[in-house]
Formats: sequence, structure tokens, C-alpha cells
Amino acid sequence: MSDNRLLTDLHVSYIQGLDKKKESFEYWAGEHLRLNGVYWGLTSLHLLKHESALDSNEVIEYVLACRHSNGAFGGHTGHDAHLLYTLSAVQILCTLDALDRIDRDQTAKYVASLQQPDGSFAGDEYSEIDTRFSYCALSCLSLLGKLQAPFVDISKAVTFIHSCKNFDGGYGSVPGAESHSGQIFCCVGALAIVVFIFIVPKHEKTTNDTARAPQLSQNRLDLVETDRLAWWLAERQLKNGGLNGRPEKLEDVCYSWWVLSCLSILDRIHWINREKLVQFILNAQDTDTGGIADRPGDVSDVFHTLFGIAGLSLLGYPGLEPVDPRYCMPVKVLQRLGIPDQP
Amino acid sequence: MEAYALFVQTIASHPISTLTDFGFTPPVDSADESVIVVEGNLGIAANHIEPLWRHAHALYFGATNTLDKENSSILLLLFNPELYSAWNVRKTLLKTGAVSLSNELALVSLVLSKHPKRPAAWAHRAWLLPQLVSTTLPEHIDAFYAGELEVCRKAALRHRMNYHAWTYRWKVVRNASLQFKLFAFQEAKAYISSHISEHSAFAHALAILESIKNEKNQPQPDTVKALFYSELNETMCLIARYPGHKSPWCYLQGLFLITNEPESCETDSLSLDDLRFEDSWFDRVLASREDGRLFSDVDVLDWLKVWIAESTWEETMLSRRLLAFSTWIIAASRVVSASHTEEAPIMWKNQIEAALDFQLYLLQGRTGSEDLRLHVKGLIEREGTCPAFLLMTP
Repeated sequence: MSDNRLLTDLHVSYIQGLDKKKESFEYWAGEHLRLNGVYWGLTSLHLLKHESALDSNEVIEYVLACRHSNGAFGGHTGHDAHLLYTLSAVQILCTLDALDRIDRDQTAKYVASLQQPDGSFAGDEYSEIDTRFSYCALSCLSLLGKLQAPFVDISKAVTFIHSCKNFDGGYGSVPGAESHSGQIFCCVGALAIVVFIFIVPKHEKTTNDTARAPQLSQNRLDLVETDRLAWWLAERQLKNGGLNGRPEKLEDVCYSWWVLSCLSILDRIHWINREKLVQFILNAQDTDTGGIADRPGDVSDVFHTLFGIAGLSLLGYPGLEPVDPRYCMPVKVLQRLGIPDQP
Repeated sequence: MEAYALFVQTIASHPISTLTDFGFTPPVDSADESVIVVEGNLGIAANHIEPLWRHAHALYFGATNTLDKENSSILLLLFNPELYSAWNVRKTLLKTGAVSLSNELALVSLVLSKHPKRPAAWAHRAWLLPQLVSTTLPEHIDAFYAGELEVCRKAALRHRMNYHAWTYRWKVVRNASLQFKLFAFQEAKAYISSHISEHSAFAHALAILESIKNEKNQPQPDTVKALFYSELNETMCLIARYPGHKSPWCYLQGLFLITNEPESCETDSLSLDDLRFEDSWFDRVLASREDGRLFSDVDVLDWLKVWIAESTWEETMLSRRLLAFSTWIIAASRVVSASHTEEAPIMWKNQIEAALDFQLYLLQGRTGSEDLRLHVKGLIEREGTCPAFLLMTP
């Protein structure tokens, strides 16, 4: 247990220390997603307002070392190309204002090559389909400034995401799969990111049962069953204040992000008991080594550190950079890229 | 003999298809004992994990010959199934015929025996699935699918709410025949009967039910309707039997949502009477109570069966029926709580909260039901422990 404040300095030194344990078995066990880890650590530092805590040049060189000749990125040097790590690479370079170090068209073409005829995205050339990859693709293209033809068929991408909507308003990894907070974030985030030219005749009704005037461009959050989904998401808060990812599961700090960001996008963040969640996240800090764990008493890791801090930022905890719920990146980075704020 | 050489020799002499389980064994002094097979169980000594990993890792990333890639990738994936590049190498080996489809399937099963929820292992199996289906004779396909359900069941037993196992299971079932879907549905229900909080199983059952309902070539539409109504009754009994568990309530919600009942009927709209239950109904059970006897979930189930038998449901609107049931559950829970002279177990309070939540959810967005929603919100406020957001819903 902590004395219930955010132990910023301890978390900064925890993140700085992550790369020093290169010989440990745990380091090797996570090597396939090292690039994700760098994104989690770097973004944490930026949200904590300690942007210089890692050497930017070293980070950039590492990211470039993970690049393949087709513009895609692997999880670590020598690991195969995959969309998951391509997104992390682009996120890191955007945050460090180093996007000019890569050929944006080339990376965008790699992402485009993964879109399937039904609008879904594969993770790599081996065709695994998952709404996580729809999110990665659309977020990546958005950050690259290439969220349009010929790099993506937005209409089809949206159609596929919509087909993964379940009767409870939630979303799964593929059509018919169980609603899961992580997948819901991917779908709602994607629908919030896309910019779509949407013109509807006045007489046509949407799922929210209101007549729409002609629009120039907007996202596709109109496809979300807002109150029904917000209800499902608000139910994730347990009596101990923490959030779980699905009914009957334990609370976990990372859902402070997956659930909270959706509620923020849907403008229902007030449906969560803010104070209790803040206390839950703070209690999950490791007061000896720093970092945040999945729940109080467990060992911390950089994944839960980011999502705990990002959750606190969304909840307005003082001293943190504002985070964009669609991208899980500092708002000011997206402003620099010219991406409009979420409405 | 050095540990890695022993590993290679072991898997050469024990085909993967004969190995059913993988795990780590206690430390041994000699490398000669670091890799063992006992009745299909492959074991590696804990103190040899790290040296084996280092050797296999160096070999894998440096190897140019097929055999080294094949052997080292097996070891790496047994230790860390998330090493997706190693699964990719094996896809290439499959294409060249260096490994066989059936052996690859056996390797995934072996990996899953130790790591039941690793997504990359399930993704590799999903990649194998279409190839396996295309090389299976039509008359054997259902048997093959049943084998896949069994792999999912074992993984589900090893790790509760195993999202990847249940999603893979759906990937198998969604393309199967109607007959197999009905079989898979009954299998899911059987799993639920001994795992009441396995929400993934409930969600899986609902997905199959919805798929059966939407099946284009319905040989017997009455079968589907009968199945649906028996599910309703069974779920009501589960709710009574396991007070406070969320999963059966979620399932009941799902059953309601997939029927797509029209939101409001002109001639048959809901009223506050649908939220009231005559407490006197319970007088007869209270009258038969022996002094000092506390009621329990077993009693509630008995009372429910009586109540269902007395009710005439056939032509009733589904939402009316569900409101009546949830109202009855609230009344029954209060009777049980009152029978405790000291504080009743928390599960009865949780049950009442779940029932009120369910009622409000059912009434959400329903035109002409504002007074009912207000009434339920009043009850929620009085309970005092329900999530506050319920009072904020429109």
C-alpha cells in the first residue's frame, strides 16, 4: 500500500532501470514485444512530464533497428514484421517528433496490404484476423497522415468493426466472439479515429433514433449503442473500486485504461466512481521498486504502469499530461501532428 | 550428454503426437537427466531452463539448416509460445513439407498443455484449421471438430475465462453444420452446469444459439423455439440456485436481446403491476416453516418450480415474463434474508441488486415505461449499495 499519492520519481527510475537487466531470463521472455515495452515506458514518462528521462536518440535508433525493408516493424531486432509493433514504432516516433526518420508512404503501404476484402485487417502475412488489428491499422494510418484511399477503404473497415458488435453493445475479436473490454477499446477507438464523409438524407434514422442533418466529415461513433455499451462498461467497476474486463473477472489496473478511455470517448466517464478508482490504482503501486502492478500486492510491470498512469490522467489526477483516449498518447503530440481533438 | 543434445534426441525418439503434456520438473544434478519422457509427459528440469533457452535461442537466430530451425523452434515455443517469429518459421517448414500438418497440430496441443491461454499458440492453430478441414473427409469432419472442442475444453479447465480458447472454439463451430452446432451448444451447456461463473461459456452458448436462430435452412423452426424457451426456464433455475452470480443474469439478458422482441406493443404495454408481487404467495411456505429454520437457495429453487408450474407463459410478452421473474426473485430473496435472525449472507443482497439492475436494463429505451424506470430507480436508491451510475441512466 502507498501513502496514496502518485510516486512519480520512483516510477521514472523504475522505467529507466528496465533496460539495464539485459541478461535476466525475464528480459528474454519478453523480447518478442520489446518495441511495445518501449512505447509503454516512453509514453508513461511523457505523461509523468519526465520527457528527458530516456535518451531519445537511443530510443529512435532502437526503433529503426526493428524496421524491415517493407516499412513494417518487428517486436525486437531480428523478429518478424507485424502490425502490432508497426503501430508502436510509429507511436514512439511521433512522440519523439522523429517521424521524418521513416518513409511514411512505405509504412502506410504495408498497413494497406493487410486489409482484407471484408474490411478487416490481418496482423501480418499469415492472415490472423482480429479487431485489435483494425485498431492498429487505423490508428497507425491516422498518425502517419495517410488515413484515406489508396491506403485504406474506411467504409469497409467500419463495416467489419460494426459486424463485431454483440447484442450487449460490446465488441469481440471477430464477429460472434465474447465482448471484452480490450476489444471494445479497439473498436470504439477505431470508430472515433476514422474520419468519414458522411451525408445522410434528413428522413433517415440512425441507431440513436435522431434524424441527422447532412455532415461534411465525422467519426463513426454513431454506430455505437452508446447507453447500452456505457452500461456494460460501467458495470466493470467492482466494490473495491477497481475495474475488470468482463463479468466475473478480477479487477486489473489495465482496465483503468481500456474501459475508461471508451467511457471518455462516449462522454460517460462520470458513470464511474472516480475516487474509488483513483485509490485502487494508487494502491497498486510498488512502493519499493516503483511501477504499477495489475492489482495491489502484485509485482509491477511496465504495461500496467502505463495504463495506470493513463487512467489517472483521464480521471484528472493532478500533475499529469492530458492523454488522448483514442490514441493513448499525450494530447499535445496529436495536436503537433494536426490531428483534431476528440469532439 | 549436454542438455540440448538430449532434447533433440528425445523428440527424435518420441514423436510429438505421442506427447500429451509438457511441464517443468525439479532440478537435477546431471544434464543427462535434464529431459525426460514418462507416459507421454515431457519434462524439463527447472535448473536447465535457462541454459537450454540460451542455446536454442542462439541456434535459432543463427541457424541456416532446416533441422536446427525445427528443433530449436520447438524448444523455444515450449518455453515461450509468444515467440511469434518461431511459429512463422514453422509455417514455412510446413509449406516445404519438412513438418507434417498432424504433427504441427500435436505440437500446438503440447504447447497449450503448459500454456493454455497464449494467443500466439491459438493463432497458429487457427491458421492450421482451414488446411486441416480441407484435408479431412466430409464424413469425418464432425469427429475432427469434436476433437477440437475437447482441446478447448481442456484449456478452459486449466484457466478460467480463457478468451482465446473460447474464441477458437467459436471459430470451429461457426462454420459447422446445424447438427454439429446443436451438439456444440449442448456441450457448452454441460460445461456451464459445473462452472457457473464461466461467463465465456455462457457467451459462447449465446453465440451458437443466435447462429442457430439465423440459420437459413431451418428444418424445424419449432425446435429452435422450444430450445429457446427451455433455455429461459433453465436459466431462471440457475439464477435461483446460485444467488448473486452475475453470469446467469447476463445470459438471461442475452436471451432477451437476441429475440429482438418489438420494443412496445400498442395493446400490451407494461405497467407498474408488472413490478409488483403478492407477498401473500410466500405465506404458505412461511407457514410450513419449522421454528428456527433458515431458508436457502435450495428452498428458492423449489419455490421457483412451483411458481413456474402455476404460471401461464405461452402467449405472454417476453419482457413481461422477465419482469415478473425478476420481481419474484427480489421477493424470494427478501423472504430468505428475513428468515435469518442475524445478518443474512451478502449473496442475497447481491441477488436483489442484480435483479434490479436487470429490470432497469430491460426497461432501458422503452417508450412509455418512464414510470416503471422511476419505480425501479427508487428501489435501487433504497438498497443503497447498487452502482451509482444506474441512477444516471436515461
